[in-house]
Amino acid sequence: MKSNNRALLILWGTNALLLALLAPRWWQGVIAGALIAGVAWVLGASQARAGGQSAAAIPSSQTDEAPARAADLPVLVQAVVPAWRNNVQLARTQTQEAIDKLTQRFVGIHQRLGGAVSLAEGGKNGDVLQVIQNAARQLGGIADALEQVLTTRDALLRKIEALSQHNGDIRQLGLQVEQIAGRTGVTDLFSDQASWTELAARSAEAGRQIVNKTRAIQQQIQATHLSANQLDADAGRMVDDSRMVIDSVIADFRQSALKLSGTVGQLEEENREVDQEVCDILVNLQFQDRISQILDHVQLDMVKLTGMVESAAPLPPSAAWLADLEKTYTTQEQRQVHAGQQADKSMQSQVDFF
Amino acid sequence: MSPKTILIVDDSFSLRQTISIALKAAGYDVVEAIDGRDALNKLDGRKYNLIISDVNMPNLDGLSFVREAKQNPSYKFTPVLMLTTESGDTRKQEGKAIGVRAWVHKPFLPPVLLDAVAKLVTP
Repeated sequence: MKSNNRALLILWGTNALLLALLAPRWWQGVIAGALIAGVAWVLGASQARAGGQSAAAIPSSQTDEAPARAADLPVLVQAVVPAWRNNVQLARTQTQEAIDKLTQRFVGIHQRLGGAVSLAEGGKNGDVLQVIQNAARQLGGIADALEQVLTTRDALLRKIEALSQHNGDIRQLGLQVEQIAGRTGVTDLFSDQASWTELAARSAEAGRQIVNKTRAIQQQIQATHLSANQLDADAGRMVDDSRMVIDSVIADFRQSALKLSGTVGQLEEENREVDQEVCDILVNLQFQDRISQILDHVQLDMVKLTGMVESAAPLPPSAAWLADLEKTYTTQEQRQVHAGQQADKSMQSQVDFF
Repeated sequence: MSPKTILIVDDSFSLRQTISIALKAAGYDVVEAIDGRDALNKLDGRKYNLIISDVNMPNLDGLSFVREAKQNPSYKFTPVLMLTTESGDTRKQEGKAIGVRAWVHKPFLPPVLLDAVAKLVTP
């Protein structure tokens, strides 16, 4: 560039000298030379600018574009990063909310299981075993009473057997009396005194024995009667006592059964509640699918930007980039946060029939 | 009467489990596929009373799967329910055009899904 200026200066000086010598007035030649030199300088300078540009066309197209990419990249990043940030924030919010709900559900299940365990322990340690032990003891008392009745009945039977024995003795005495009567019939008036005396003695003896036996029988009958009355009283008392014991045992069992039934009912209700909690947990777990998609969209967009920067391809305008990113969205809340709106937190099942 | 069989197509294991539990509890038999390609392999002559499919899946997406399934005469009239996070009207209209009968948004409530299934399932 300096050599060009020096040549122009020499050219201007030579041209002005020649024109001053040839012109009718020397100062007119100097002016004309100066004008020609000025025009030449202006033309040279414009050529120099044009020549300089055409010479650096290929490299300058690169160097000029590099500053342009360098200038576009921050603009694009400034536009895209908030969209990524919003999506990541959306994923974080949904994760946090879902985890909070899951935690609440698990706490609820924990409490319900604890309640169920307490109920089960209540049933286990409750009255059932005690009721059975009491029933065994009380029914054992009835068995003892029954044995007592049986013993009394045996005694009564022995007394009745004794009466039967007395009956045989009386029959025997009756036979003896019949024999005496028979002999009396064959003893005539001419029999000796001794025969009469013997018959009378034997008859008197038989009569005494009959009287004694009859007295004994009467005593036995009275004793048997007493025993029978005692047995009747014992049996009646035992039946009453047994009825009371049985009623008490049945009442205890009924109460215990009612309690067990109530416990079973509560456990069934707890089971239903836990089942519902688990069902709700499964619904809440679906957040993972949505968050996975949100993060996948951000990840793909990052990969896309990295690829474009590495390939030195022209960067699109940020608006076009954001529009392409929005097309990848699947959920309504992604579109909402992309538009700068508040994400709809309601997670209601929506059904469209076609 | 034999239970009705439903084909579930979803790339998410947890979602397949959730759907499967809800359907089995309601008395349906379930066959699972992990994406559209796997689902096409399971259209092997078995009778399905309903197909439930996700939209965004690897290998073969849900709408492409339905499009191909409807080319099979055996499954041309099998009702299809899309169960997806996809909420854009464009995709819904695309689904409607290829014969999808219902579009259920995730996350779904089991009773809502079961109600939709009961309305669509073939005898």
